[in-house]
Amino acid sequence: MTGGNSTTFSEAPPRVSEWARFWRVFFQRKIVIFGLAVLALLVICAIFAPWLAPHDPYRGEMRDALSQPCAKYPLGTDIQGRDTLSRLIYGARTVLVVGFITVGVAAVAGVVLGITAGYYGGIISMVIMRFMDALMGFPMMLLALLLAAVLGGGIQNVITALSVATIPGYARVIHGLTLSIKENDYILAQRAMGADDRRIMLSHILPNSLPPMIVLITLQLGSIILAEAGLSFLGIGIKPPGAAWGAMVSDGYGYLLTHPVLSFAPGFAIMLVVFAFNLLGDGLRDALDPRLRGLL
Amino acid sequence: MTAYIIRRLIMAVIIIVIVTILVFCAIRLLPGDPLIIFLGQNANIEQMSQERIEQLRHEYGLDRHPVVQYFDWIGGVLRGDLGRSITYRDNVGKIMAERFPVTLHIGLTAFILGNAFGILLGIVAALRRGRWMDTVVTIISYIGISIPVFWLGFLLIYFFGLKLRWLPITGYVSPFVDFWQSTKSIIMPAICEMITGMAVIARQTRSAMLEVSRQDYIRTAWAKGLRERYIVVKHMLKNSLIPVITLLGIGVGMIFGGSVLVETVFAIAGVGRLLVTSVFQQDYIVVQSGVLVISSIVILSNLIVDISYGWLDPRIRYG
Amino acid sequence: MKKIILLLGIAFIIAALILTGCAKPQATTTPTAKPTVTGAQPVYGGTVRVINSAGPRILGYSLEQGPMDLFVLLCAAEKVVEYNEKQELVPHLAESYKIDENAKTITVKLRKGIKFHDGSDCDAEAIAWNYKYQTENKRVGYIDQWDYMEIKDKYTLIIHYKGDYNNQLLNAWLWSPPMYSKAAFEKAGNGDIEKSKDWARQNVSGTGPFRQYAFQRDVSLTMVRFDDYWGGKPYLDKIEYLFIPDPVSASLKMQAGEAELWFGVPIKDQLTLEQAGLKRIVGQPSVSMLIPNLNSPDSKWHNKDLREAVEYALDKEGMAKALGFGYYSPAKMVAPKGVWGYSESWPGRNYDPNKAKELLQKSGYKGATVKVLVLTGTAVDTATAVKRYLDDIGLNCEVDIADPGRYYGSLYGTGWEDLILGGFGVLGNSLQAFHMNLGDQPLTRMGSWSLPSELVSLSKQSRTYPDEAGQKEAAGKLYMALSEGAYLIPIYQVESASIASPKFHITYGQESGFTQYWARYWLEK
Repeated sequence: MTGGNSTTFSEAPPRVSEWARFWRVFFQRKIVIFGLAVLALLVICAIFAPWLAPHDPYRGEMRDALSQPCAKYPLGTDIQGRDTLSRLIYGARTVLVVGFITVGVAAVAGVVLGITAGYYGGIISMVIMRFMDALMGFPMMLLALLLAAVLGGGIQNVITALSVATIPGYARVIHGLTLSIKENDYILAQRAMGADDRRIMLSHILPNSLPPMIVLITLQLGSIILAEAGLSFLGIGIKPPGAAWGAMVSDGYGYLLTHPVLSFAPGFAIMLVVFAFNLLGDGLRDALDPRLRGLL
Repeated sequence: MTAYIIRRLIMAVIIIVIVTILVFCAIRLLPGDPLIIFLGQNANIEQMSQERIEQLRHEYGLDRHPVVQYFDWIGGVLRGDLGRSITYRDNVGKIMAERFPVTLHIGLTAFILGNAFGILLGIVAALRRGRWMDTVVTIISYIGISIPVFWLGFLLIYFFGLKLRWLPITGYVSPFVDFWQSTKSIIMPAICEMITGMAVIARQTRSAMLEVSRQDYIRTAWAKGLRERYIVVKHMLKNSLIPVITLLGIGVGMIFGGSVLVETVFAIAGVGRLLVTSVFQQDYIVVQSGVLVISSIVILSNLIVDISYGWLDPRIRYG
Repeated sequence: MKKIILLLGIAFIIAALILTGCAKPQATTTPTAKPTVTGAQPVYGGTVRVINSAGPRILGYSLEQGPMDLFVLLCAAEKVVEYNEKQELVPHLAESYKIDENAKTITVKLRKGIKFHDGSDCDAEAIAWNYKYQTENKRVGYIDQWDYMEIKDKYTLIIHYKGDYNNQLLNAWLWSPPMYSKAAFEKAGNGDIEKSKDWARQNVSGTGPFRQYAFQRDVSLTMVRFDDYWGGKPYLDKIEYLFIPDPVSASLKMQAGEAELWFGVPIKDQLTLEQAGLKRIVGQPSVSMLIPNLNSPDSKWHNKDLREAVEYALDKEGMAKALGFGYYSPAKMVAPKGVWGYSESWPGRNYDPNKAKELLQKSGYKGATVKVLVLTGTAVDTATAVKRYLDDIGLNCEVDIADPGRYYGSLYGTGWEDLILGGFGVLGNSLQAFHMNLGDQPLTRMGSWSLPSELVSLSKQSRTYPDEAGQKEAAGKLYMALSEGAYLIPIYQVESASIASPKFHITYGQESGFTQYWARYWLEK
C-alpha cells in the first residue's frame, strides 16, 4: 500500500542517504507504527511471560473450570481451569518460535537452493527448480497435513512441515532475482576478472536479494501463523498442555456458544498479529523497493 | 510459441512424476501397518488368522517390493485405475468421482467470485485512492489475509445459520437436485474459500493499477485529455491485470488447500475432507491418488497461466 | 490511515460485542432430565433426521463390518436375540431359544413369517447361511466351541457346541451377528461371489423395520419404512442419517431444529442443548479409565506400586466436576455403579498425592516419560488433566493424541506403550462386558491388555454358571480382583447420552447401548 501523499513528477528527487529515506518512508504511514507496537507487545509477552502472566498457563484450578471473565480471570478459564490470559501470553512464545524457526529454516534453504539454481543454471537449476515446482504443486495445507500425518503431531513436526511447504516460495523468488542480478554488468565484469563463484554469490547476489527477502519473510510469517492454527484445528498441532493460539481457537471452538472469549481472544490475537506482520511487510516493501525511490 | 508450449508441457510431466515419487515415499513413511490398522478398526483382529492377514496383504500388494508397488500404482493410474481403498473397499476412482463435483462446484464458485470481486475491489481502491472506498477495501483485504478460515466459517454459521436462519448450517445439496437449496448451501463455504484469494488479488490489482498509473504512457494519455473511462479500460486495466494473472494459478492451489479446512467445518463430503479422513485412517491408496490428482490440477493450471501470461504480455518473447 | 485504525477498531469492537452479547449465561444448577410426555398416543408418519459423527463404510457385508458400521444400521439389521430394558437377552427373530447343557445344543425356534427386505423368507436355512459364512471365516467368538449346525425344520435351528457349558455363548453366537438375506446376496452377484461382496458392501438387506432407500457415502443414509416388517407397522415413514464430523455444526443443527436425534453427543454440547430445550436421553453408564500395558513382558506397568501411584495421584472428584459439567461422577471401580460387580464396600483409592509420591518412590520409578495415548476430541481434555496430576507427583507424562486410525489401531491391534485412555461400557450385563473385552478369551482383544495370570482361572470359572445368582457372584469376584490389583485405573463414570427433539419419542438408551427398537419410536406431529 502506498502512502497518501501525492507524488510529484516535476522535480528530480534530492539525493538523500538510503537510511534516511528508509526511515522516512517506513514511518510515513502511522499505521505501521501500530503494527510495530503490536509486534513489540508480542515480543515483550514472549520474553517476560513468566512475570506478566497472572496464573500458571499449564496447570489450572480444576474447580475453576470454564469460569466467565471476572476479576481473577480477566479472560475466563478453559475446561482445565487454566487462565486464558496467561495462556495467551505464553502463546506468544509459540507464535514466535513456530513463526521464526519455520521462516528461518525455509528462507535459508530457499536462498541456498535459489541462488545455486540461478547462478549455475543448466542441469542443476533444472533439477532444483523442478523439485520446487513439484512441491509448489501441493497446496500448502495439504503438504503440511501430509507431512504432519507422516511425522505425527508436535511442535517440531509442525515446524518441519511448514518449512518444507514454504521453501519453494523463497527458492523461486531468489532464483528469479539471481538470474536478473547475474546479468548486471558489474557481475559480468567480476566474472570476467575471474572472481570466485562463492564470493560473487555471497558479496553481491545475497545482499542484493535481501530487501525482497525481508519483505517476503515478514509477509510469510502471517500465513505460517494461520497455517499452524489450521493444523491445530485439524488435530495435528502442538501437544497439550502447550499454549498455542491456533490450538486455543480450535479448543475453544466447541465452547463458542457458551464461552465465546475462549475462542474469540486467541482468534483475535492471531488476526492482530498476522495483520501487524502484513502492515510491517507492506511498510518494508515500500521503504525498500528501489523502483519507488524518488516517488516516496 | 509452439515449441515453448511443448517444452512447458514436457516440464509439467516431469514435475508430476516428481510429485508421484514424493507422495509415494511420504506415504511409505507413515507409522504403522495400514492393514493392521484397518483390521484394528474393525475390531476383529483376534478372529482374523495370520493366514487371512497374509492373504489380505497379498490382495493389496503390500507384500511386494516398494519399487514394484510404485510402478504397479503408476501403471494403474495410466490405465485409469487409481487402486482400491483399504477402508472403503471400493475403487478410489469411483470414490473420487463422487467427491470431485462437490469440491469443484464450491471451488469454482469461490474462484470466479473471489477473482472477480478481488479485481473489482482493487480497481475501485486504486481509482479512489485515499478515499473511503480505498479504506474499506484495504480493511477487507487485511481481514481477508489475517482471519483463520475455519474461524470465519464458524462466525458465518453462527450468524447466518443459527441467528438469522438464512442459510443451512452444514451439508451440501447438488444443484441437480435442488438448484436454489444448492446455491444456499454453498454460499458460506464459498465465502470461506474465496476470502484469502480475494484479498490477495485485490491488493495485487490495486498496487498494479497504481504502478501503471505512474507510467509515462498513462500520463501522456491524461495529458492528451482522454476520458477517464477510456484510460482506465483501454490502458490501465489491460496492463495492470497481467501481473494479477500469475496469481490465478496460485489461487487454484489455495482453493484445494482451503477445501481441507472448509469441508471439515461445513461437513461437506468433498475431496478435501476425503483426504483429511484418509490421512487419519492411513488409507494411503486414497491419499496418494488424491494428492496426485490435485497436484496435477494445480500444476496444469499453473502451466495454463504461464502460457497465457506470455500470450497476453507482448513484451515476453519465446526463443 | 488513521481512519483505517479507527474503522478496524470499531469493526473488532462490534464483533466482540455481538459475540459476547450472544453468549448465554452459565447455568448454575445441575440440569435435570425433562419428563417426557406421559400418556401421549403414538402417531404414524414423519421423517426423523439423525446425526451421527461418521457414516458406515460397509453396509451389509458382515465379514468386513465393524461395530461403528453396524451402529447406524440397527434399524435394518436384526439379531436372533436382543437385549430388553432390563438388560436381559430376549428372543427377537427367535420365538424362543434354549440351551441344553447335557445335549450340548442351543435350539433356536424362529418366528414364522419374517421377511427380508428383498422379500425372501428369514427361515432356519437363511440363518444357517449367515452362521456358515461367519464361522468359516472365524468371525464369531468362542469359535473353538462351535461344532456344527442342524436344520431341524423350516423354523428350527440347532447349534451343537463342544466343550464345557459357557454362559457367554448366547451373547457371542445369538446376539452378536446380524442376519442378512442370502437370496439378495446371491442374486446381486449372479454367481460371481466378488460381485456379491461388492454389492453387500454398499447395500443392506436385513429384516429390520426400515429398509435402505439411498446411500451417499459419508454424507447420508436414507431408510424408509419396511411394510412387511414382522413386528407390525413401524410408526415412522423415514429415517435420514446425516454424517457430521464436527460437533459444533451438529450442535447448531440440533438447535436450529434441522435434526431430531444426535447419537453420542460430546458432554459440553449435552449441557448447551439441554438448556436449549432439547431432550437428553441417558444411556448405559460407562467408566472412563486408564488401561496400563500389561501385555509386553518388559512393561513397567507390571509393578503394582506404580499403578497404585497413578490412581492415588488423580483427583477424580475434581476432574469429574470440571470435565463433566455435572454429568460425570468419580469412579472407584471399572464396573459402573449399580451393575453386577460394583461393590459399595470397596473404599477405592481416593486422591492422596502424598501417598502417590510414596508409592512412586517405592516402585523404583527412575524418571522415564510415560505416554498417555488418547483419541483426538474431548478425551484430550481428560488426558491433559491426567498429565497435570501425574506431573504433580513427579511422574513425567506426555499426552499422545492419536487420530481414530492410530487410536483404534493401537487399542485393538498393535498396542500401546504405557497407558491408553479408554472407556468401559456395559452391554447386557457386566459379566458379558468383562468377557467382551477383558477376559481370558475376549471377543474383542485389546492390543496391550492381557488378563493377569492370577485372574485367568477366575475368568474361566465365571463362564460356567448358568444361573443368575452364580453369574452375579462371579462378576463380583472378578471386578473386585481387578480393583484390588489396580489392573485398571478408573477415573470417572459417565452416562452415554444422545440428544433428541422433545417431539421425538424414543426409548433408546434404556436398552443396551447397542440395541435400537426403531419400530417403536415415533414423532409427534
